[in-house]
Amino acid sequence: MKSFLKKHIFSTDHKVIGKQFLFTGLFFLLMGGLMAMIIRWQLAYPFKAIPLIGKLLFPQLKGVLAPENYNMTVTLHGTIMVFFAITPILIGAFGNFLIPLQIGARDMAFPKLNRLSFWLMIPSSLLLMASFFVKGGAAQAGWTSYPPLSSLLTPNGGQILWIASLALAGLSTIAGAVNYITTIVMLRAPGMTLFRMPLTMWGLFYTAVLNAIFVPVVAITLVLLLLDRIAGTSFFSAGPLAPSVGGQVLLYQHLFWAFGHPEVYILILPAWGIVSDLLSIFSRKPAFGYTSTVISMGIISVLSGVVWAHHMYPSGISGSLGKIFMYTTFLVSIPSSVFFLNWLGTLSKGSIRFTVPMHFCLGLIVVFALGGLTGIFNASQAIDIYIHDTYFVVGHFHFTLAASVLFGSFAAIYYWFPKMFGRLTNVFLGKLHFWLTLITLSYVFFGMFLLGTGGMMRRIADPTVYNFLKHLQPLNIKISWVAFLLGASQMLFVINFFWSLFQGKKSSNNPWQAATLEWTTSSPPPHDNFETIPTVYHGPFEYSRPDMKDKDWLAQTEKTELKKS
Amino acid sequence: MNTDNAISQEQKKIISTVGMLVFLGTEAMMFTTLITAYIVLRFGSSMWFPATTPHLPLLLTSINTVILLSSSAFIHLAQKGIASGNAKKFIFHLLWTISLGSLFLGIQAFEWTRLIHEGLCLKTGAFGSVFFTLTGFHGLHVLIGILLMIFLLIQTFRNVYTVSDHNPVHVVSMYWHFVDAVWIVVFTSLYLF
Repeated sequence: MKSFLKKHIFSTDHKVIGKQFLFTGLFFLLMGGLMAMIIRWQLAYPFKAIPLIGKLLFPQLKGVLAPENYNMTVTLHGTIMVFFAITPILIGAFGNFLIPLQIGARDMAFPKLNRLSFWLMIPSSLLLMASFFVKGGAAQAGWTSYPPLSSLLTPNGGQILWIASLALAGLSTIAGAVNYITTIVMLRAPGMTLFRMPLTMWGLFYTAVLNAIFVPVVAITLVLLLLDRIAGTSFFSAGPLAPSVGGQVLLYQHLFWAFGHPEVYILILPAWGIVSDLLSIFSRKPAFGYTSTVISMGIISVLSGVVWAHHMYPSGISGSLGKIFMYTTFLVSIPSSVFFLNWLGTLSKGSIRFTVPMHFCLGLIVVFALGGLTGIFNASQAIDIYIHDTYFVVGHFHFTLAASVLFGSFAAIYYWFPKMFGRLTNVFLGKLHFWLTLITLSYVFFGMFLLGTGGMMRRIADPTVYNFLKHLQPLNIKISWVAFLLGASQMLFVINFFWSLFQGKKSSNNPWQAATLEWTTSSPPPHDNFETIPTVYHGPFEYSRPDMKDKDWLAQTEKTELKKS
Repeated sequence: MNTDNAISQEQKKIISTVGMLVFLGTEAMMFTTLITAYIVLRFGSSMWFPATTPHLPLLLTSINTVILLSSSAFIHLAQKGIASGNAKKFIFHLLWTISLGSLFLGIQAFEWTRLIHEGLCLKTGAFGSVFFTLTGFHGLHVLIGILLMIFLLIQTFRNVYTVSDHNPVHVVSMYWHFVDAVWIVVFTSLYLF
C-alpha cells in the first residue's frame, strides 16, 4: 500500500503524472463522446426513448430525454471535451511527459507543483460528475455559460458545481503553465538552444504562455458569475430580474471570449507542433521552414488575444467594433497559411513512411484545411449574421477541434505509446481506426455545414417543431447514424490501446528512427530520464542528408560534420 | 540519481525567480480582469454612484496605504538580513512586515464593517459589487502573504535557510511587493478617481 501511494499518488515524476493525465483524459473523452451520441440520437429521433442506455440514464421518462436534460448534455459535452479530455491529453499528458525528455532535463522545474496540478483535477472531475446528481441536475447554460441564463434562470446546484469544477481545473492549468514555461526557459540541456527545440516544444510553450495569460481571466470571470448567482452582486445582471442596478450582460461575453478565443488556440497549438515534427520524421526530411513555423505560431498566439469579439457579432456590439475584430480575425489566416504550407513543403519529395501516426497527421492536414477555410466565412461580420448560432459554426469548430485536435492527439498517442509504455500498438487496428474515423467524421461535420446553411440553429432539442427545418430532418438522421458509426469506431482505439498495453510487442529505444532526445533513452525511460544529461549539437531535423551512409538520420546528440567529398 | 550537471544554487535561485514571475503574471491578469470589469461597469453606467451611497473613507485608507507600502520596505530589509546571514535582523524585520500587513487588514476590516453599517454591501448595485470584490480579493492576497511570511518564520526557527540557500524568502518577498503594487492600482482606481 505504502509503495502504491508513493509510486502513484505522491509521485512527482513527470512521466507518471503525464500518464495519469492521459488516462483521465481518455476516460473523459469517452464520456464526452457518449454525450455526443445522446445528442445525435435526440436530434435524429426527438423525444424517442434512447436505446440501450436510455432507461438507465433517464428513468423518470422511460428512457426519453427531457428538454432540460438535452441542455445539460450539450453543456457537459462541450465542457468535458474542452477541459477534461483535450486539455488533460494534449497539455497535461503530452506536455508533462515530453517537455523534460525533449529538452534534455531530468524533470520539470517544480515537480511538487506538477503533482498538485494533477491532484486538483480529481476534485474538479468529481464536482463535475456530481453535478448530474443534484437537485435540478447539471449545468444547462452551454459551455459558455452566458448570464442571465446561467446566473438567474437555471437551477442552483448544477451551475454552482460547474463553476467550482472549472475554477479548480483552471488552477490546475495555471500551475501547469508556470511549470512548463519555467522548465522550457531554464532547464534545456547544453546545446539545446530555443531554435533547436522540436516544434512540439514550441507548440506547448506558446500554449503555456496563453494559458498563463488567459486562464486567470476566465477564472475570475466565473467567480464574478458565481457572486452574481449567490451573493446578489450585479456584475452581469441587468433588467427586471437583476438583484440591483448597474450590471452589464455583455461584459460577461467580452470577458469570457477574451479567454475563450485564445483557449481554442491553446487547444490546437500542441497539435500543430506535434504534426510539424511528425511530418518531418515520417517524410525523412527537415521540417520545411522551421523558423517561419515558429514565428507564425507566435504571431497567431499574439493575434488570438485580439479577435475575441468575432464570437459576438450579433450580440448587440456596434458594427464598427465588429469590423475591427473582423480585420484582426482575417489576419490570423495569414500566419496559419504559412505553417500549413510549410507542412506541405515538408512532405514534398519526402520518403514517406505510412505509419499509423503519419496517417493521422495526413488526415489532420485535410480536416484542418476544411475547418480553417470555413473559419474565414465565420470571420466575416456580414456572413456571420446568417450563420451565427447555426450548425455551420458547429461544423467549423468540430473540424478544427474534434477532427484536427483529436487527430493530433491520436497521432501523439500512437507515436509516443512505445516511449510511454515500452510496447508497440497494433498497426492494422490503428489504420482501420484512422480510416473509419476520418470518413465518418468528415461526413458528420460536413453535413453540419449543410444544416447550418439551411438555417438549423444550435442548442435546440427538437428541430422538427420548426416548419422551415423539417426538410433537413433526413440529413439529421443520416448524420446521426454515421455519428454512431464514428463512436463505435473509437472502440477499435480502446481495444488497441489496452491490448497493446499488456500484450503489445516490446519496443526498442527508437522504433521510429527519430532524432529528438526522448528516443535516445530507453522505452520507457528510467526515473531520471537520461543516464547522463545529453549534449545537443544540432536541431532535430537531420534526416536524409546526402552524406549519410548506413542510416538516414542523426540524433540530436550525434555530432554532425559535413564530410567534404 | 545522477549528479552530473546537477543544478547549482545560483541556477535554483533564477529558476524560482522565473517561476514566481510567471505566477505573478497570472495574478496580474486576474487583477487586470477585475479592474477592467470595474472600468466598463463604472463608465458604462449612469447609476454608478447613487446619492444614497456611503462615501469611501479617503483619509483612513490613505493612511492604510502608507502602512502597507512601508511593510514592503521592511521585507526588503528582512531579505538583506538573511542574505548577510543575520537571522536576528531577518526575524525582526519580517515581524514588522507581518505586523504592518495585519494592521492593514485590520483597518480594512474596520472600514468594511463601517461601510456595511452605513448601507453599502455586495448587493448595492454594481458599485457595491465591484468595491467589495476588488478590495476583498486584494485582502485575500494580503492574508495569503502574511501566512507565507509566518511559514518563513517557522522555517527560520528550524534553521532551514542559509546565506546561499534562501530562495523561499526571495520568492515570498517578490509576492509581497506585487501585492503592494496591486494595492496602489486598486486604491488609485477606487478612491482617487
